[in-house]
Amino acid sequence: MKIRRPFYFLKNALKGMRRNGEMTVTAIVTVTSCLLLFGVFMLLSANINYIGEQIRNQCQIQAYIDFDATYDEEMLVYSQIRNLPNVADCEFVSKADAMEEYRDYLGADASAFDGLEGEEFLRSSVKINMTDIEKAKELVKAIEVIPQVKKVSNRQDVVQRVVDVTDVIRNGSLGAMLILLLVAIFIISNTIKLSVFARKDEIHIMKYVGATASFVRQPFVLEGILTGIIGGAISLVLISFGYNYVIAFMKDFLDIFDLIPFMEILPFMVSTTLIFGVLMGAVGSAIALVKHLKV
Amino acid sequence: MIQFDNVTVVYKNNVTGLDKVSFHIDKGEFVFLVGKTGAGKSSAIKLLTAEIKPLSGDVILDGVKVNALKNRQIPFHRRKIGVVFQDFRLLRDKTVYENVALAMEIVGASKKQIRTEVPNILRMVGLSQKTREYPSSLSGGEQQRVGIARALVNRPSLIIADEPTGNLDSATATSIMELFDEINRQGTTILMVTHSEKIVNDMNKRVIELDHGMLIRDDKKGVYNIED
Repeated sequence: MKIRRPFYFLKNALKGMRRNGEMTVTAIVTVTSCLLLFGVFMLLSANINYIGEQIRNQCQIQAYIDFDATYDEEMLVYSQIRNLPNVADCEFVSKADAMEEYRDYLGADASAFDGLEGEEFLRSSVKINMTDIEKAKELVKAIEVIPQVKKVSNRQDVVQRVVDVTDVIRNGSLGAMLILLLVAIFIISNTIKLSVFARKDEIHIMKYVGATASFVRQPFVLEGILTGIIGGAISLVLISFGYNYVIAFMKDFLDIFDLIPFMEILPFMVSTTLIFGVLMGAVGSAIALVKHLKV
Repeated sequence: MIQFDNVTVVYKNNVTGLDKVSFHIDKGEFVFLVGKTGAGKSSAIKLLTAEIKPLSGDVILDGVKVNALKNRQIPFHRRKIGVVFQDFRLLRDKTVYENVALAMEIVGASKKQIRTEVPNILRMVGLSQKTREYPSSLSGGEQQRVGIARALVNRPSLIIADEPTGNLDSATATSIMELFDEINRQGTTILMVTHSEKIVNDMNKRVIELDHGMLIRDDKKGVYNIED
């Protein structure tokens, strides 16, 4: 659709919005509500991805070395593991380091180990981060055949289950967003239909005087777009307040995973919300006009 | 100017709107289209404004076959016609000036053209003093003058008036008819649908009568002569 005389149409669109004040407010509230829900699902989906990534990163393999192995033998095991495929990086944990970790883990109860050294009952180990979590099983098998490796612990099963659950939630949110978008377009087109209906005489007269379909359509579509932008802006402000509150709450009470910092996701949220707002308004009003353009 | 060539209109519910109607109207003529309700007057008008298409036959305006127009050509065809309605159809939230200016904005006239033409046309219809008024503050006759000004402002070659005096008292109707007569004298063709015996008899112009979709009378200087 070619926009001729953009300022003329913009002026008319603003006039139309002012004139149909109640209808405009209804449309803006509808768009805001839809985009608010849309934003919530979008944030949910993005954060599920973000947390899933964190869980994947926590999936480490730990290879325990024979208790009786010498330091040189331990270093040999370490270098053999380091050279295996799918090893992103690895860290050697000596018996003394293991003892230190154990004491940290026990906290106040660590005093029970006073007088004991790690060398007396803990094994040295190698902690391994993978480049591809999906190939954990192959890596475990490759490590198990290294002489002096006694046991390989792998939390991949648990992690995979968590990742599967996050995938389901993420896909569910994407589905909900799609449905929400369709519902929003339907509601908006109906809201705009009321506004078009209130002005059907004007459209009728315009058609009789020789207005082209695009001349009639342009102010309404512009109104739809402006409604989308205003609704998008309001929902963004509400979402930013809400999200910052959730981040603060998670930090205080549920400090297991980090959420995406708001400033990091803001550009994505602004562009997506405004694009969807404009899309809803434009498509909604175009649908609403179809019937009335046939004079 | 206008040519109806064996035109038949049948609506979806199988009602016949026009039945093999043929007539010709020359440029600059003033023609009354009369007949009882359902006689086919509205069908004739709708054919000229390209709202409907005939089942058979041709409707020609200024050498253009109206029934063969593509959808995108229709708006440009309508700009050659000014339509005046019985119920005025003015936009309530626009002033007299804005109502008339709208017709020029639609055809893409410049602001300068609008500023020159609209006051001219409002002066012609006798509404110079009312440019800033809204339709609700005008009398019926004044509202119809705005409707006439809107129909005239783009200088169409044809004015179609559909019962333009139907909602007006007799004195106002007479003054509106004087205005149409003046417009006609300046060269604009006028096709007027009316049920007013007095107006048709007073004007003494050409009368085309339809009945049950058929043309039953075409008098050069006719009278109303229909029993309602």
